[in-house]
Amino acid sequence: MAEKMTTFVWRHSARDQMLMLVLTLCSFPIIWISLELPKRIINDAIDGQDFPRELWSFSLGQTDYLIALCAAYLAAITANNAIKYVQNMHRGILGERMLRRMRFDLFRRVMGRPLSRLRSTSPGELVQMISAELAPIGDFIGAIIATPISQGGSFLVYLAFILAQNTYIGLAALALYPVQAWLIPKLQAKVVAMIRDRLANIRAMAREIDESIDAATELRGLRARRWHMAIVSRQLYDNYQIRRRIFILKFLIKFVNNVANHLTPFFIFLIGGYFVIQGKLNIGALTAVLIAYKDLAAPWKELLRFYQDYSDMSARYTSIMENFDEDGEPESLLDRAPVGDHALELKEAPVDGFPAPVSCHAPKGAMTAVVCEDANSRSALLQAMSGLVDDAPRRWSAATPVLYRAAVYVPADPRVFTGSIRSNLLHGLMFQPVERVDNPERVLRGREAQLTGAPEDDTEDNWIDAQEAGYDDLDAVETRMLDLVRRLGMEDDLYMVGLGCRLDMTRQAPLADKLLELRGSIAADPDLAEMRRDFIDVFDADSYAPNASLADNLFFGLPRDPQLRWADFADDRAVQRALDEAGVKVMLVEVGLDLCDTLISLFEGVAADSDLFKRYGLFPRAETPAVEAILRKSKQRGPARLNRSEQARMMGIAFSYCSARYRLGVMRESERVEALLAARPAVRAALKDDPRFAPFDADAYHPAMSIADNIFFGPTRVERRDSWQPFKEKVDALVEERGLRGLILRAGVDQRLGENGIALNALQRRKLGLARALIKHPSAIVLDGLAMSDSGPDQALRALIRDEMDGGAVIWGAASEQGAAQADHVIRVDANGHVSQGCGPASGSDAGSGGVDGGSDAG
Amino acid sequence: MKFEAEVNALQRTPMFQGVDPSRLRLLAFMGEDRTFRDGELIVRQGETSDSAYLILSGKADVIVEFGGSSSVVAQLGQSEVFGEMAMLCETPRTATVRATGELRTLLFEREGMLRLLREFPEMAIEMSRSLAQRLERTTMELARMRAGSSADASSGA
Repeated sequence: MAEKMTTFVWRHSARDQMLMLVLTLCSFPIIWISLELPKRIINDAIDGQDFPRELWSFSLGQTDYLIALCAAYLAAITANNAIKYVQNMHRGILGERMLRRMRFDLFRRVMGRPLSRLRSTSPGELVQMISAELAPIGDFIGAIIATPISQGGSFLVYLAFILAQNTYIGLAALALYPVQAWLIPKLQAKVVAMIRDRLANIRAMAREIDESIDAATELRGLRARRWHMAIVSRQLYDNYQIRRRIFILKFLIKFVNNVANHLTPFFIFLIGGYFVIQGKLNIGALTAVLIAYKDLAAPWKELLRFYQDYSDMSARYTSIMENFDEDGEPESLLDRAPVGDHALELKEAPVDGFPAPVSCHAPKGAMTAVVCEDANSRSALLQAMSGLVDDAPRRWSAATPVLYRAAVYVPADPRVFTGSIRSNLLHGLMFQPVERVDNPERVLRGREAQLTGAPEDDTEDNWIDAQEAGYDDLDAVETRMLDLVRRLGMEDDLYMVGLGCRLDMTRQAPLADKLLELRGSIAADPDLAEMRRDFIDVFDADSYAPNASLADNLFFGLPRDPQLRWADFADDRAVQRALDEAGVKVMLVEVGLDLCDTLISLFEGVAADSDLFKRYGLFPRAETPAVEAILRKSKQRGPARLNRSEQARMMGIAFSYCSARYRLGVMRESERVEALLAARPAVRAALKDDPRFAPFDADAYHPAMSIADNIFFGPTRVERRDSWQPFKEKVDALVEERGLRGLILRAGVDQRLGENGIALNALQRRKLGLARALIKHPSAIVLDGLAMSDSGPDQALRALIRDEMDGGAVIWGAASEQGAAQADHVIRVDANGHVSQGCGPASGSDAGSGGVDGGSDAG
Repeated sequence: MKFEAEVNALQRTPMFQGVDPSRLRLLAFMGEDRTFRDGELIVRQGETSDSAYLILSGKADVIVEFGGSSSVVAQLGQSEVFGEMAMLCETPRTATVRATGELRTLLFEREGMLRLLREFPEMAIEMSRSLAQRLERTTMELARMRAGSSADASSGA
């Protein structure tokens, strides 16, 4: 990127800036016309004589002439504003495009940094620079040429006019501009220096915040939270101080400017008055000068502001770009892997933590162990062998030219990306787009990318080349994905995830139908139906399910939006009206009151900050005082006197109550249950057509329930939850029998994982990382930190991986010789970082016979 | 009074004897109903699980498997608690418990129990007192058995 902002702007937007300039120049004559016309209308049309006038061979009377001039005036104003509109729009679009270009370019450079440098990059600082700091620059550079030209142009026009009236007065009017032009840049330079301080300060703060969150566990473990908060607090203070000084200077500049502007009329009056008295100037000209001078102030102010913004923005720009000076143009992405004689080979490659360049190899199709006691050096070597090394084309080679299949590095704690299990598993196949989707939106995105120097790669394109990845087609990839999930022992977990997810009814209606059939078969089978009655509180239109919430029972349905619970509708007008008309509103409020009363007395003596209440209560502990106030009010004046929001609050609490779980007896044996059941038909009828809710129907798949809930059609009975395994197993067998298991697994694969896969445990993450690697059909797999010993499970895992690799090489890091017992080839790193290699574990520690390639590499 | 039956049952168990009834009421609220039919297993020996059970009604057999054979070593009845070892110490279950006839229990999760103990330390003191008494009894029993067996051995020699 260019060193100076102006160079950058010129390089990438010269054409657009010129267009802006032309638009600006076009506006000058129009402005002149719009100033000229009113004068004509008054002097010529209203006050004038000699009618009719000839205008473009038309003969016009006075009124017609007036109308014509007024129409022309209207047209001039419209044209002037139209140009302004086009100009503003163009400026905005240009600014946004330049901003996108700057942002993407910076991100591209960061992505291209060597890993060693990237590790020391603070994400917080980068985010701050790329998002917040660049934003105002984009806005500014849209009109970097047009603004000074248009404002400067107007300034010059007015100036010329004043000088034309009388040179001395003109000079008097100009007297203070040189003073301003000298003083203001001096002050502004100080402001610029402070702007740079401020940016550095904010960045430091971003880095601190980033670090505090990243290291939250250790920070709390060290009990240093207060210290870190003090650091940020101090940075905020420094920021305040810098800003304060900037304000002072900025307003000082404004003050100087204002005083100078107001001093000028003093000179005009003095000198102009003197000339008038002397008879060298008429009074009309003096008035004209004063008016022109007033008009001169606006463009001058704009010019000054432009100057301030300009110095601010170029300071920002330089301060951001300084951080990327070292980057230069990133190395272009490798397309093909360099092919060598071995599965993987390093030739004189520099590796972090090793005293000398390393040469070693892993033979094709062999089991290779890298024995190194030091975990960091081991990781560094394994990463280098996977091709994650500087100057890879010369230092590293693999067995296949297809880069993403050449080698895959699998750490013990792999990163799980935000998205679904599917997107995580297929991540390693997303090497480059292979087929463009063709739609107008895509074309538009492509064009925009071209305009801003971004690659045309689009996330909507097809990125997976099944053939190149070693599959017949995309279906085969899909099959292999589930196959790996099964072989690595993730299937049961995935099945559970699948059972818990909601189907997208627009895409998965056939599966929904099959699940509905399954529900029917369970009910029809005498054995299963008996078990279902025992373990499941089946939803039935005529009875109350104590294992479901009160609201599920009352409305006999669920909100369609998975984010919303019934309690969120307690304040909804349609819902309240339905409940009121069904005659249960007051009773619901009473249930809520009873619940709160009971809960508060149960938790009496529990500390306010206890998490007991959070886990077992029905409302947040912080709301206890508010709830107590409602209880008092209702005791004094009766529940009917509570206001709307208080009633809604109580109803919301009542909605969540599940009698089998809480057993608080607020249903008064069956009295209130009967009342709720009696109200159910009316409530259902009232909300029947409300698209926000989906009613339960024994003969329909429920869009808001999970797959499991749809199969069982009711909650598990709390009291039988520990014994329902046999029933579940029978149903699982039925699912399998009907070929639904695969479909449920696929639904599970599509389920979104939490941020960074937070829902997965360490073992699941590890399996996911391994599956993600194996699905690439790599010619070599490099295991760092897993399957590293000669224990039974590790051996079994290596055997499984070897099996799945189908003739590919397996390389694993081992901490000791024992871990290399099963290896065909061993690479050893001694305590001094010297690398030697030999075949098999028996050949001892030195490079020996056979498959030694290049001998030992003593460094 | 809510949870009366549960609180009564809890009060009869040695572990909760000295604990304030209002705390027991909260404990009962935090528990969950679990019902088992004749022959169903409540806990399995060797399994890791972290909940304890209070028998509200019915009976259960305690079965210990050793060397391939299993035998009933005790029978539990109303107001008896089992599984508390696994709950407090996170050890695998030391025995299997099987319902004989319809069995109603109240289940306590480790997490909730620990929170409650943190909240009311006096409850923890009461519980440790009763556990210590039990340990003392067991130790004495063991000593008696050892004395008995050594007496047997010496008499046999």
